Amino acid sequence: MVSEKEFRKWFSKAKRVVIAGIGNPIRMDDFVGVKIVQDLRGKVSEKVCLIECETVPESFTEQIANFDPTHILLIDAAFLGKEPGDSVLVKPEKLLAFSAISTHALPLRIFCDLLSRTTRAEIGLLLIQPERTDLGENLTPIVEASAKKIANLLRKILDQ
Amino acid sequence: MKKVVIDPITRLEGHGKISIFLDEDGEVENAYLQVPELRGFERFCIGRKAEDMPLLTSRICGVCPVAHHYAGTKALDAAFNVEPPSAAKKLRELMYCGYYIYDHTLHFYYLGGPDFVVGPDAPPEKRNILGVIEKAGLEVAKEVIKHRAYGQKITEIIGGKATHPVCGLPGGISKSLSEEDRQEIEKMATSSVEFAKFTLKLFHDIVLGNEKYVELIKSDAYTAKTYYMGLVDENNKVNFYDGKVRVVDPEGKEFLKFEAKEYLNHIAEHVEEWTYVKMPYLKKVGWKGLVAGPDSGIYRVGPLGRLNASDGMATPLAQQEYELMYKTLGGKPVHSTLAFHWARLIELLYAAEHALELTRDPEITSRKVRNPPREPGEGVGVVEAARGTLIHHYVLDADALIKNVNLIVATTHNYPAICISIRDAARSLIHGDSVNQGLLNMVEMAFRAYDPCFGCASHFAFGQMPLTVEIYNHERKLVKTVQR
Repeated sequence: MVSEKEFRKWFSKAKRVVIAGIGNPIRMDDFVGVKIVQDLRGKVSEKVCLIECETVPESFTEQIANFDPTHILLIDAAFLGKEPGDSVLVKPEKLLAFSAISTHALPLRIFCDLLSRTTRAEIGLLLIQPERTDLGENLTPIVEASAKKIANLLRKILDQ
Repeated sequence: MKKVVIDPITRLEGHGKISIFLDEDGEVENAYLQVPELRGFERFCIGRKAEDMPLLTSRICGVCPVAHHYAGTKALDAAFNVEPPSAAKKLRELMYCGYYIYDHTLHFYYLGGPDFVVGPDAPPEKRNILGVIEKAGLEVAKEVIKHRAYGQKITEIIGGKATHPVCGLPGGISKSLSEEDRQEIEKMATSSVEFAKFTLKLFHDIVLGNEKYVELIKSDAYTAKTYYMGLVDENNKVNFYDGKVRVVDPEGKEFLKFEAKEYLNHIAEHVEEWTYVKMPYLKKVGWKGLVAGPDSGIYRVGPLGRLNASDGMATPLAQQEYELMYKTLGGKPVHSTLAFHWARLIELLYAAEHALELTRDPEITSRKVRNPPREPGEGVGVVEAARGTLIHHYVLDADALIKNVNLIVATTHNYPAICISIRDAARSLIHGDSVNQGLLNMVEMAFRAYDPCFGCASHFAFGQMPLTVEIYNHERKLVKTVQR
């Protein structure tokens, strides 16, 4: 689980922040990133831009760039080999250099590289281990609890 | 038998893979693309309220939600036996053009197109938008991002949400278009026409100006002489949103033309033991295995399928480019899989031109955008998703709850042909266990042209390489692994 200290360190020089949630609303825990963004809505300052990307973060490139952020935090579910609900905060470089081999969706690593060329922001990935990603509309209890904790931490830090 | 596996091929997850089987001599015997099935999704919908379907099905995928939204909405029009007002149809179509603008732009600049723009020999990490930026410059990338955003903005204005629209209702659409919004869309559409023209010029300069690329497009490795399917209007011109389904044979002659609700009379599905995905084929011709030609019922959909199945484009600039494509590539129909890229850009131009036409239609701001639904029943909705013909078929009970669902998505239509294309490309390259980067690229190009659609879920972050080629000998022992 990412600690308050880690978050504070990462946001220490932040002036304008984009928080973008990624995930499919009908794939259970895959939605956790968007759920956190939804939980933050109305609870953070106007210097924080909240974006619900769902499964197409690349479609929000212009909106993110236009906000001129100093920090961009992308929140996504990811298979980390950890316990469900556990999380890590990493730089995009930690993602494998996935190539856009197929499909019409852009790999997250390439999306991050694109953001780094169209903004001057520091980019971070908050990745959360899902328990289930089957078809379904709710998070599992353990991942939902983790999402609430993370949302509370972010609200505490970004409200200041 | 040796076996080569390319796995995974999806965004960041491991659902899809390519398996290439070699014979005792090391030559390619067959190739298969395995993709996740949507049957689970269909079951997920049973018992739901009918009006939820356009919202639920748009979540199958985040990139083509508008197509699912309107296939679902049209199926509900039919199921509730209601005809939307003319203005509602035009608004739906205008929004649909916005979807094509952002979607086709995505494929050409971000995904499949970089095979040519950056070059087939470029390393995989360059064959995407980042490579395009390096080759064409950051200013071009900014235009790309801007016009994708325009397409999305058009969707948002009419659809209520940019990613997953909420406007489609049986019998019409939830709100009319204001004059202020009409003017905004008109400006974006005007700019998009210029952007589409620029994109085609880029394609002409980089691809058609390179003899090697043109030869590659025309080569046997990327040729499959199949049937083609697409929606056409009353003049047999390409139509994304409405019309009849037309099928032409490998000679380009009209073979079938039917209403959406008749699709089960013409399309059957074959089952192979190695995949859960069913393989559609033309009933009248029959299933003859994974082979092309007039005696095989395999057909193709998508940009090239639509252009081949039509008699032209309904807007002037797109029509000029349509004629140029067939003149350049040797007449109609064009059977080259790589010509999907060119066809896609012609459609981008058509989408922008048609969006502009619609914004200038006096009826587009009419307040009459919905007719009341009638008793629930059964309905079929067909639209042309960016990747091809999309069919939604719903059966409702007396309370308008979903009793049965059948979806045939574009990638399913193309599935048998994709397997053929992969196999033929692999046959030209794989000999024994000499698998290299060139092989991967050439095989990838065969299926990237179709822009196949796989469901998105969670993403691997660590610990697994995204693309692996494994070679097995005839005893199924691993003898070589190539990873990137």
